Amino acid sequence: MRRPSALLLALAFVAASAAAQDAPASRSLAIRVKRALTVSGAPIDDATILVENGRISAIGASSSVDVPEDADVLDAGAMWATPGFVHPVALAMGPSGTYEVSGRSNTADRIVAEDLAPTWPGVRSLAKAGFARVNVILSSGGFAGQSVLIRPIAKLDRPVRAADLVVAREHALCMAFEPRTTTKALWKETLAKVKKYREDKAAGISSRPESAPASRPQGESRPATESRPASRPSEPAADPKLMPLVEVFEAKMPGILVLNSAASLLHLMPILQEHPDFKPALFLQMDDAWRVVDEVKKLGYAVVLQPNRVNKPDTNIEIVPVRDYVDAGIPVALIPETNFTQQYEGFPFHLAELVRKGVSRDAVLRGATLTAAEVAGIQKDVGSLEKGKAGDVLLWTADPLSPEAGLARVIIGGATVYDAKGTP
Amino acid sequence: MKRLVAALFSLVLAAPALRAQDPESRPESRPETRPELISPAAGESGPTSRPRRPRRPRSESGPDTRAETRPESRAESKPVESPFLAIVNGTVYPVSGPVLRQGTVLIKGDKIVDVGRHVQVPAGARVIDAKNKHVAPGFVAVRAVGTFGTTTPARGEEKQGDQANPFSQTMLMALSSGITTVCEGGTQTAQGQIGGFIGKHTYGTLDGMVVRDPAAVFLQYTGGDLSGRYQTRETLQKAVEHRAKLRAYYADVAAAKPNVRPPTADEAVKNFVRVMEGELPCIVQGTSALDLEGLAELSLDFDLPLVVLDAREAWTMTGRLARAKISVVLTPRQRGEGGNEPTRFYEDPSGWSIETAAKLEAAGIPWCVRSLSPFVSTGGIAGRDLMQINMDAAFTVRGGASDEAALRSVTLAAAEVLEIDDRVGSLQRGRDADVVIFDLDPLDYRSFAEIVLVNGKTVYEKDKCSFFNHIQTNRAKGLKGRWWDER
Repeated sequence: MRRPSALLLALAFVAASAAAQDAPASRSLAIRVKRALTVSGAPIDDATILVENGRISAIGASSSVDVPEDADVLDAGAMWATPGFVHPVALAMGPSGTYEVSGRSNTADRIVAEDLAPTWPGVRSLAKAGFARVNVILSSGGFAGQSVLIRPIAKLDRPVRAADLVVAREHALCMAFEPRTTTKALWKETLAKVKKYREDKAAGISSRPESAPASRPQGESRPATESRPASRPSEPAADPKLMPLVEVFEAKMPGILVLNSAASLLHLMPILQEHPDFKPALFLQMDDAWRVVDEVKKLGYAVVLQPNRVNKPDTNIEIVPVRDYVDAGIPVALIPETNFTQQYEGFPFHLAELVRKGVSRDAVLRGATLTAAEVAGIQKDVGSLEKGKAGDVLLWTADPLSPEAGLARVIIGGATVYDAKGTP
Repeated sequence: MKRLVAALFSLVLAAPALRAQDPESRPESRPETRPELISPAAGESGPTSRPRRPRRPRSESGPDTRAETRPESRAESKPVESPFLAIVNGTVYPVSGPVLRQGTVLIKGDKIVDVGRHVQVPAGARVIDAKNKHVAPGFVAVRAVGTFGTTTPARGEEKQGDQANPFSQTMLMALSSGITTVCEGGTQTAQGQIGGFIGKHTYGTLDGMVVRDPAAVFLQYTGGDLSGRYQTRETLQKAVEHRAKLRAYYADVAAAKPNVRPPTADEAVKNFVRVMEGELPCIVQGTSALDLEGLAELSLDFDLPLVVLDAREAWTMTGRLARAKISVVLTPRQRGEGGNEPTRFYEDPSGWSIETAAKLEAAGIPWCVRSLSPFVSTGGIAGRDLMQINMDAAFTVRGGASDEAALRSVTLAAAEVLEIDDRVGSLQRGRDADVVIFDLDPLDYRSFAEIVLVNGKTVYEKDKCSFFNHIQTNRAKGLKGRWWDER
């Protein structure tokens, strides 16, 4: 299994007050741009985006948006605007390069909270690349644990703590599979248990918990769910470890399944097909994703892909897996080709490359924003420029899907977290 | 009787041959309507008979090359596709019978339903025109490593088939040599260890990949290891006793006697009973006459069928081996311990004879051929790995073996040795549709596999695969006959 080589996001940061993030400036911000690519709707020329209390309160042609007199006005009349990027599956890595699980809980949550040493350059590279939300997962075997959703922040006056970045803990369930007799058995058995639990619950069967969840199980524990069987005696008992998976089945929690080879999907497919309610997103971290387009289509899952191009083995025939998936009508979320946050900056260029290779502009931009938000389960909050969504706006010097575009300014929650001119 | 008893054991394999008797699987005998002939040489193949995009120069591989990346799965769904596929007009080598000129192999789904010269092709069947081509069963490699994407054998609870990569390039390379079925893995021990995996090269899918897992009992019984030999004999003695008890038990069950209980035994003992009943092969290494003498004695003493690998000196004792239940697996192009390399053994007498296969054939001893190296090798000495298995077979002809036996030695004979001849190894009604279309006689040094079918699906096409598609043989250039005809 290819190990997450790296990762992480740099979460972290350095200094500045979390309070400033949580309670955005009370003044509103009006951003006027040449063209706003809203993702959710048609592009708007000569648009004004009004951000109040960290959220978009109005967006439209400049002539139709009423800007309050006391609002700050950012006149970027030559620039293009897009929503902030969303990274639904950033793999977590400890400060030393590889993360060792040494008998302790290995949730991504704990890594972010305790192990990552937030540094300003790390956070800055997230911001500089235009990521408004990053879902940090941990890639290891089985049902590895839950993710942490973070966002870049503006520089603080004090050293940054990991907690400053966190938007939500235990946000999504990440899973992994590699083809082995034992892992197949684990998946089959685990999914069957969830199915039975849900059937029992639907049938109103109640029973006492098999055992009190005295100790927090390693990994997937979730305090809120641990007490659920006891506090709601009408529900059937279940292993508390299963509860996140139950939520994935019920679409209450995003699920992300990391696969490392096309063969893995073929091996797991018969098991997945027994559970039509189970709809995780597939993170196809592999070179041969193009081989299993039909199988993924059959499953009806969304996929997360890196925009790499690959060659057909032993040939120089170029394959663009993203194009194959988009053409098949499968929702595709796009993430950077690398796990190193320092290299995230190249992401927009790779998106432009995809457009040049024949993937539609809509699919590419949506893949990096709204589809990615859907995979991460935060599409109601971010992913497009719409009234009511978070005030996350990227300003570009040119068409963002062209190679000449530069990211000029990154605004998250109405606050500028990166400005190419050096401020803040 | 042997099969009857075997059927009582719990682990009998299903007999797929029965399916062929199903009247539905027989083609309807209505007058033949002229199906559209599709010539593989014209750049199209049967199963995905769609117009093929013109090949673009490689330097311009732009968006339109997608069609070439996955020809199988990109096929648009057609209204109703006939389950029949007919390979017509070829020279057919059924192996189980005489060669048929202008024969037809008719396939329904994943099975062969008819083979002959006057087979009615059902209306609507997809047709591959094999005119001037040679149609043979897929080769069976008795020992192979790595064609399922890993060279690490599965251990413990793990099964090889559960970690197989059906997109392995190595598998594709083996297919390009016509190898469709292999036996992998297995560890030889004195007490006999069950293991290994027999699988098919179902490139692109896991369906129908596993033929049998575990594959065989692997035994070590060498001349020098006295305590190991003692262990082997002790275990086999228990197996003989257990087998007798089992027979008595089943007789009691058949007679409806009350309170009968099945006898118990160790796994090793039970496995040997399965070998004795012909359910599983027992594979053992034995190169020298001394080893072979001991194995022949073992086989006779315990009524134990044995498959002996690399029996280099078997030609010295064909009479003895013929009396024992021994099958021989030869590596015809390996002379001595030194293998390919000039080692200290190089000058020593090796016991090797080019005539070994011919002598075994004359003595009626079942024999088959395996390649010198079990790997698909991209390094080392070219021409002696798994990909040249037909050359190993052809070499036995040089020593006096018949051409029929040579082709048999990498198809049906190898399947018989592995006890899978009811599935693969021959082109017969009811067998799996594992078929290779060669441009020349499969044993000819110039021949290439052009199309390979496994379970009725096209898994390899020379034209569409980068390994050999650029190689233009004399034949493809339009030259006929032998080289001297052209000069």
